[in-house]
Amino acid sequence: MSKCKQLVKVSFLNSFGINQALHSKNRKERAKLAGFGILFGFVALSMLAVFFMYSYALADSLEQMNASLRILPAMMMALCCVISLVTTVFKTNGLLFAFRDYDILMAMPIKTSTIVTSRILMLYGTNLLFNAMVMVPAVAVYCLKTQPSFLFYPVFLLSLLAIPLIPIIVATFLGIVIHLISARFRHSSLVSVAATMLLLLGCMALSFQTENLLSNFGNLSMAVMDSVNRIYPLTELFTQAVCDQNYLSLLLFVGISALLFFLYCVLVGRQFKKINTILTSKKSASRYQVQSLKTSTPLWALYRKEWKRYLSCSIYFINTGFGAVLMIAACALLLVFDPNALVEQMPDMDVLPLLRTLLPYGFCLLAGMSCSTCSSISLEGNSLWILKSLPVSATAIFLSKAAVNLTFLLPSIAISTVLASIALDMDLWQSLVLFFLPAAYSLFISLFGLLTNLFFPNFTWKAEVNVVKQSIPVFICMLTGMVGAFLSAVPVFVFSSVSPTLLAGCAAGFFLLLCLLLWRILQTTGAQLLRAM
Amino acid sequence: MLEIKQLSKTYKGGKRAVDRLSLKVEAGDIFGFIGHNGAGKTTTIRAIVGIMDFEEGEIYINGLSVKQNPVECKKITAYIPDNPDLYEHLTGIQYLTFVSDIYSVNKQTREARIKEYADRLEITSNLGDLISSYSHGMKQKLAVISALVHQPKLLVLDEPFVGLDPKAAHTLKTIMHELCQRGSAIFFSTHVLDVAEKLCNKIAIIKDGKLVACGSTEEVRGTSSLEDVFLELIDHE
Repeated sequence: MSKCKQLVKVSFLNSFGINQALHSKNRKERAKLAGFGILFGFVALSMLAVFFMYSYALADSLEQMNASLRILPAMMMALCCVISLVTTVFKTNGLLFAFRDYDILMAMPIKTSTIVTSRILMLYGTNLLFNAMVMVPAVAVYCLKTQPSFLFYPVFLLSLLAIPLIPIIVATFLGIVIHLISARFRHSSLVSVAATMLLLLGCMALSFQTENLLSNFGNLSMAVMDSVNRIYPLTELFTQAVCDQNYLSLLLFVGISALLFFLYCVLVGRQFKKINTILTSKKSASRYQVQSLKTSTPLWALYRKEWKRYLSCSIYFINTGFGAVLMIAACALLLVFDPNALVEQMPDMDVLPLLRTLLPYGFCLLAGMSCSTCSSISLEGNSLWILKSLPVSATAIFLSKAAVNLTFLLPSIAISTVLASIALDMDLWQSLVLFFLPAAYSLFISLFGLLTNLFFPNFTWKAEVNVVKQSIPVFICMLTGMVGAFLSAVPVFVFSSVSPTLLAGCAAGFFLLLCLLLWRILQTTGAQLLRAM
Repeated sequence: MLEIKQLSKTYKGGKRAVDRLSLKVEAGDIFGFIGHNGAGKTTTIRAIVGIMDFEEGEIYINGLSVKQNPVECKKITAYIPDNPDLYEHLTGIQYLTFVSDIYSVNKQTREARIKEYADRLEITSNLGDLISSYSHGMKQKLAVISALVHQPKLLVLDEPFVGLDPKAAHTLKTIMHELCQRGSAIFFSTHVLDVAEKLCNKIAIIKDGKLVACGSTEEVRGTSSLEDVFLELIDHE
């Protein structure tokens, strides 16, 4: 057990620069990391507050519609499970299997089962933390509204510990299957990306089963619970255990989850080496003959290298590209499902003008969450020496990285603009700002992401997921991307007498000016930071 | 070809890795750079090739300052690290194409050089495979080819023979001689004193960041072996 604790401790210290903060002799670096810690704490508290307010609003709506409040913890629990499933699929390859220090750990006198347990504990811990952040506020609202007995609390705590177990099992299985399928193809990373995207879209489709809700509006509780149970069948057991203090349901929920998880741990432990060998084996044809080679300019060569890097890592692509895919999917849905139906459902609201006004900012929000540059410097890892020893300027390096981000964002914005313009019957100016505002915002976030990564690089990562999902610059960039999008929409409400199209155009101009400033900073400070790395 | 003047590098925390180091490498030289672990060899090499910033001193490559004209210096320099972490998501030939594009090597020249060096290092058949499938030695060979494809005026290597099989090591030594005969200079660090003694016409020994010996191999070695000289210098306080 002590060896397992040691392994978990080492993994934990490696996360978020904690060990650097503890041992670095550089005061500035320690201050930077401490600052980030405070920021992270503030954001965590803010998220708790947001989830609480969301749950409270949902509870109020349920009460107004005479629906049972049992729906609240049930929905949140199902949401937690879907998100845990989706995020854990990415972590399977890199965190649980095929991690960088696999060789070192497996060569040590540590039982394979201990290593497996430590990796699973890390996975479980991160999922539990997220689940707690969602469930605790939701259940707090439930308690405020229903005043349950004292026994509610230990039952909830026990159930909370069991929530992540099944999603981890399913996600691991899916992650391995996706990898095994994609490994058969020449462009395996593209296949892996496509398969994972399909999974994500499938989960979203499952979550948005509005058909049932609308057609069974009279019996909302049944309709929602029915939909939630379809997403995750154990939800009913959880709800009965927590809300009704049904101890048989509690036993079944925790028992089934724990038993399956135990069997999963045993199976993974026994097949760990085999699975790792399968996941890490690379095909080697060894029959190349020097053929006619193409030439290109240095900048194009840098861009192509960046693009191949981007596509080679499915978690990198999906984490940053999903926003763009979602943008297109949402606009396609707008086109398929006539928005005029919404007008009939909500006659008191000016739905279409509101959509036309706010859609550019919605695109900005999704673009702001789709930044590949905030981890592109860190992902150079131990290969950074190549870029630094080649005769290329820092500007060219930055351009190539930003260009990759814009390569998937700009066409996505263009396609979404066309779809939305048709669906919402927009005029020319509205369509133009629908493209140019998010385009300007995409450029801004690409440059901002680069600068953030230059200030907070991490080249000592053991798995790409550490950099792509769990790093300081990704966190700062995503926060900035979201807050920036919200703030840019504020003038629409403050200056309601001014044309929204004009306001959006001004916002686009503002972001372009910010881009000029950021580019100047990159050329000077950014280049210095890169030289100093 | 390479001139280092009073180079000093102090890391954060106060460790002075290199202390007022000065040396010259002429065209045609194979210059061996020897020192114990942590002596400052890799720090010096990284400063020369522009990977690492330095505060004191100057480095000139073919008369150009590495600080003032980094890109121009890198155009005529090639670097092979001791542990070549290459782009694992590329195939061998994609990596060579990438490097050739950066150095603007024309189509016919790059095809001819890649074929020549890949055949000599016996790695041609593996160039179509992903670098992630390569062994350490294969990555080392690929790094060597990528360094030679643009015929650098200064070739800088950090422990180049580690990980190479005996045949590949012999081929690399031959290539180094050929490069020097064409007017290039080679600067490399090594722990293998035997290789340094036989291959290099000039040697420098570094200890705790300071140069303790520098000159032609005969001058440095004197009447004893290089190993004896090295141990004497390193052990002597």
